[in-house]
Amino acid sequence: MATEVAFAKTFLAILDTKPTKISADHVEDPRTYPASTPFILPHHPSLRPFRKPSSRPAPAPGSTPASAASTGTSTSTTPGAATPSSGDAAAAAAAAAVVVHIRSARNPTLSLSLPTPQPLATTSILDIKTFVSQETGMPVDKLKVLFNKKPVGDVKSLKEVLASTGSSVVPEGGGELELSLMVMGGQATFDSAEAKAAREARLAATANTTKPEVSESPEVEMKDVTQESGSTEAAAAGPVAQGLSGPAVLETEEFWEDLKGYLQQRIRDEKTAEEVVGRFRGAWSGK
Amino acid sequence: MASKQDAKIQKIIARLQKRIAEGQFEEQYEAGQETRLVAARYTKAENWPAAIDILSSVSQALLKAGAGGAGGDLAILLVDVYKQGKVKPDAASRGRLLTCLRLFEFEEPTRKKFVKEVFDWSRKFGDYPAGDPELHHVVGTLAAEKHETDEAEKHLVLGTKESAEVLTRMEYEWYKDSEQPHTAALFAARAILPYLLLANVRAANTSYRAFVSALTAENSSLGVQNVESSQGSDIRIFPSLPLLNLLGLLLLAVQKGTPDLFRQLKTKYASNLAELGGAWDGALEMIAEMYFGIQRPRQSNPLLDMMGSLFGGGGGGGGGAGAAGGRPPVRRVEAAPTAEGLD
Repeated sequence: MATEVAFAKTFLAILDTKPTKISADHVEDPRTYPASTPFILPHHPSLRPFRKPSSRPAPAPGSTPASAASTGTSTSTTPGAATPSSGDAAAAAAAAAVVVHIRSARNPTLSLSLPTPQPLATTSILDIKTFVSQETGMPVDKLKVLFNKKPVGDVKSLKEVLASTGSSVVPEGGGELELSLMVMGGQATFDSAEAKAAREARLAATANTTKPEVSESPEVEMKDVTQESGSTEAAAAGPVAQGLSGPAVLETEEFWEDLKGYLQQRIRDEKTAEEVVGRFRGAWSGK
Repeated sequence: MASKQDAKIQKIIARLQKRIAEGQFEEQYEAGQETRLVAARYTKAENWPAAIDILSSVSQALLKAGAGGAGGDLAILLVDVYKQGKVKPDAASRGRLLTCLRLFEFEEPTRKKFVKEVFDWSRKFGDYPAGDPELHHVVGTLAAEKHETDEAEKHLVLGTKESAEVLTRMEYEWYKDSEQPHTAALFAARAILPYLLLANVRAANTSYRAFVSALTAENSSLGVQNVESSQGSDIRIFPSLPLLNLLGLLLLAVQKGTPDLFRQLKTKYASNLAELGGAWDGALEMIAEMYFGIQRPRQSNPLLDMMGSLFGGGGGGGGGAGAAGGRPPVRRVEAAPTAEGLD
């Protein structure tokens, strides 16, 4: 079968004598593609359909057990070691979720975490941006998300982002993922009237409801404070470990100062922070 | 004022989302119906952002909760509102649809209609008559994960720069699944040839490289020999896989584009191609015309020829034959993207 090699040698020699007309990375503008269905190769008669992934992420209720039996051919041959295991891995990856942290190192400095673990397969970068936008009031189109210092596109799912690293860093179960955030226009964007107004509106909305509805928001501390002492103990006991605990903590001026400090840092607006603390404190003492 | 209304709709959405997350099937169904009503009101008032907001939020909540039917219906309605509101595909409008897409159970019956509507919308309101590449990429990637090879191929060939790797990975896994080691080229060609037919030489090359490197990495006993020319072009030759060599050499030849090169390949691999039972013939004929200026063989039916010329179907010779065969016209691929029409 040396003829293959011999032929390739002569063929390459001829190729070398010809001028190059188009480059190896030539791409027609996809805008010029016709609207018709693209050509794909017909199935060769001997080609058997790709067997379905062996395990499903979440078996649909009432689904027939025919999933594996779809291939009529003898499946009794020793299963290719790679196939089932890769199927399992895919299933696990589809079900996996991670806690997402978003940080902007400077201009403005920001650190946010999404309230619940995000499913890898169904969460896109745009979802993350939308979350940041809701939290901060900054418009989505001013936000850029980076992973491993590289910008990632809106349409990518978290799974694709992780896969792009090449390594199999898809975390097991309760992993965490840190994304960097870049804000176009920097601090100015954050301070823009529009963003401020949005933040205030959001805050007002949460302050008005006060009731468990706020559980949507990631500021667990705030929620706990406004709720029954039962859950407060756990949350409040943390920071003041050896000191007071329980409702007594809420009697201290220190606590309210701490809360105000947090709110100021979080909201970046002294007046609003004051107002919110006032409301919380009022609501608590008037309980 | 806008923000006041905004707050109002946010409140409705939050309430519905809560109901869906906590409720049973009936509650979810009702939440879906209520969303329809609210959305219809906003649509009538041509308040597109509000209608879009509630439809996308609630459909996603329903899809997440496993209420695929109700969620799918709202997702389809969302696309309908896009059309009515003449919304153009951009990061945000596309993003909402992609989020829905990823949330659908693949087997959910409404998914097909949703996908169809999505492309219908993107063709009409976007810059891509063949559909938005990013949408194609995601739809194709999801199909590839489910081993739905036809759907994956049709979308991924029209996808983004990243689609070639996804498509090739699927073809390679399919190849492994087929347990017929000598058929590697058949699977590699399923990515390479369609890309060539779309004049996407870059993606064709990416596919070839990805397939060959996976093949060599996982089959250490496979015979392979590096062939280099004095000018530095090189190729890996697999003595046991002649058709894979044909694909590799073809990819080098299209860059030069002279007809003798194509003819040499065709002669050398004639017997191997014959064994395929014509599976590649149509594609190779079109490639010959696009890249090498070789007109496709005319219909050998003299009657058809005559009728073709009678009805004026013979515009530009080869093109006429193509039209008679019901095939799309082929455009010559040349360095300048402003190539003239038919040869």
